[in-house]
Amino acid sequence: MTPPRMVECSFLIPIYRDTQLSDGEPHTIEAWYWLKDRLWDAFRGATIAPGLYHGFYEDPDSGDQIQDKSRKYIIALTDDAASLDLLRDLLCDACSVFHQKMIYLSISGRVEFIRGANHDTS
Amino acid sequence: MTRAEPYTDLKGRPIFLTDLDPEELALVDDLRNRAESHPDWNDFENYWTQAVGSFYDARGVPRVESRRTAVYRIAEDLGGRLAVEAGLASLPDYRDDLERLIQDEFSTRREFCAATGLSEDMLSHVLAHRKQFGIDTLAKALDRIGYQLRITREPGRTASKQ
Repeated sequence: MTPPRMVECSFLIPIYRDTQLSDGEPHTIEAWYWLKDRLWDAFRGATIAPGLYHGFYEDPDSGDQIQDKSRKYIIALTDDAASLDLLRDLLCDACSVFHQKMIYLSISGRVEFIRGANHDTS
Repeated sequence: MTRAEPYTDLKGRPIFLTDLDPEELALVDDLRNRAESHPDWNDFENYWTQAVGSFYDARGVPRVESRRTAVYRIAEDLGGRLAVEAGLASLPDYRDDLERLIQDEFSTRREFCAATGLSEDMLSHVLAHRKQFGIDTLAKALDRIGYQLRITREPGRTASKQ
């Protein structure tokens, strides 16, 4: 039997809450526990790349240049729509838990920005 | 580590080891040693998830169950301590407790607000870490649903008299 084709996915979780949606401070450990638990249940794990990823991007609402530091998660998934949608749904929820407007997701080098369901800037 | 002494997590909650078998106790010891000798948060997270995952997978324990074990919760807490010590995460506060209370006892934030008299708008700001509730406001709201605020000592700290 041919093993299922796998794809490498990676995503970035900034270590600070968004300054417009929230206060720009580090997440509580509860937020990181939430992510760990979800990855544990749904995907049986992930690898965290060493160190932090420093970057900058243009805020889609204000146009301001934002600098951030992120943890990078790497995960191998079967190359089918159900598995990839499961990861997209998780990251959509993560936008809310980590107070982010969007989360960077790369699927075999193809980049998507996953937005939260409740993009609240009030 | 022995079964007699419970592990105390970052929130001051005891995790009892009485039901752990010798192999689980040895794994807890290994994780504690690893956290001490390799205090890099990411490194430790990769280490413990592999160690704990393979340990319980080999025993045929489903992931949703292994996540509830004392070993998993201790490993998670050890990782949390490394993150806090490195300044990469903060300790949970009353907002985390509020979120959990809403999830556990109410269907929606709206239902929680109706029961407590808190405004949905203010709750949204507070849970987003943009504003704080006044102590009186929060105490009265919690009293309406049978909860109360309590002052507790931070785990591992003694009272500063300065």
